[in-house]
Amino acid sequence: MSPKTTRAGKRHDATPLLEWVLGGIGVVLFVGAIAFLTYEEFRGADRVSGVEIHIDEIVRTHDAYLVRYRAHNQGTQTLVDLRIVARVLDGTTERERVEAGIDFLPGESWRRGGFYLREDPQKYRIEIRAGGYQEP
Amino acid sequence: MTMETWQLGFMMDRHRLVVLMLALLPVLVGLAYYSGFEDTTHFGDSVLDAFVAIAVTSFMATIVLLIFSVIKTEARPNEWIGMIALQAVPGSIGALLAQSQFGHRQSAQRKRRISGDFGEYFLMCAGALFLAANIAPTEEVLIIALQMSPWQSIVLAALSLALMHTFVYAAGFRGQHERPQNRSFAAVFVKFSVNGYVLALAISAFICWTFGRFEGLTLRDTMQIIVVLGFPASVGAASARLVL
Repeated sequence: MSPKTTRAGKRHDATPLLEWVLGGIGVVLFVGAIAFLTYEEFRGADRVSGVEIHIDEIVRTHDAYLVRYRAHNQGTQTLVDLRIVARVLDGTTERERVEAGIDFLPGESWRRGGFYLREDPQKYRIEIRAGGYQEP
Repeated sequence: MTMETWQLGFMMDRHRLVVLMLALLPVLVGLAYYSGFEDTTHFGDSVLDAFVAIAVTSFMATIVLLIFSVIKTEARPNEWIGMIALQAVPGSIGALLAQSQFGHRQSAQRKRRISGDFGEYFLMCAGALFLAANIAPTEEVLIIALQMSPWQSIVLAALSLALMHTFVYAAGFRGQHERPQNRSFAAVFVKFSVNGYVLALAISAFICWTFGRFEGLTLRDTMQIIVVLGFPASVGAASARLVL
């Protein structure tokens, strides 16, 4: 974006190469973004689906068991204030129940989180599932 | 750089984001054209400047969002392209405004382009868009609008209008406009301040629509949101007339 010093006929001579390069990159970025977003739009309306939760690891801390999980949004709809519930079950008896939240989980994306449990989840069965969310 | 801005980047409707980006392009070209110099800046240069501003802003937005760890390496393209595209809207306008102010030394022989009435209105729209696009994503706009009464909205509208006029004609800021001798106060007030405020409101409504701010609201709340966002938008519109 530097000054041009000549009249219309010669002005391109005064335009630095860098400006042409940046302008070209700008065109590619602009057209590319429009094309990609239009493609995303025509993929269809946002689809709500399940939230798949994988336990990555269980870490013993000084006073609790940390269960690190990864929540993967299977749908294309962004989920706001997603509640995640973890239950430690001894047979059918619930020994512990903890809730956590994820502020935003974009469609087809994943976020990590963790639960601090008093009970050793490796001794019992642990169930982690999505509890509820808001639409944006 | 507010949290709402990058969240909107992946949450807002894709067709509205595309409409916003398409609307941005002529604004950038026009801004480069009117803020350029009469004897040297031509339409082709303005188009080039607009795309340079988009490239520079996209690059900087990507770097900053990566440094802030807002863009995760595992994020889907849909997520980060939306974030960067949304940051590019006010960012590229800001880049051109900065270029017009700091880009190159102004000499006494070189004149700013004489914009005429259409140019004045256009610059007001660009200034309103710049501030409105920065502020509209924040929750505060909605919260303020919902806690105001209709009377307070009317007072805010009157205040916005008065500020617009004072900014341009009375406050003594650099770039202040002089009222033409052959025009009455009322004529100038209606022609630029009232019309400018209407444009600022229209820009505010457009921005709110693109961000989905009207979803599920009553007509009264919708109008109040427009008036609330119209306050900074009108200051942006008036400032653009002073600065450019």
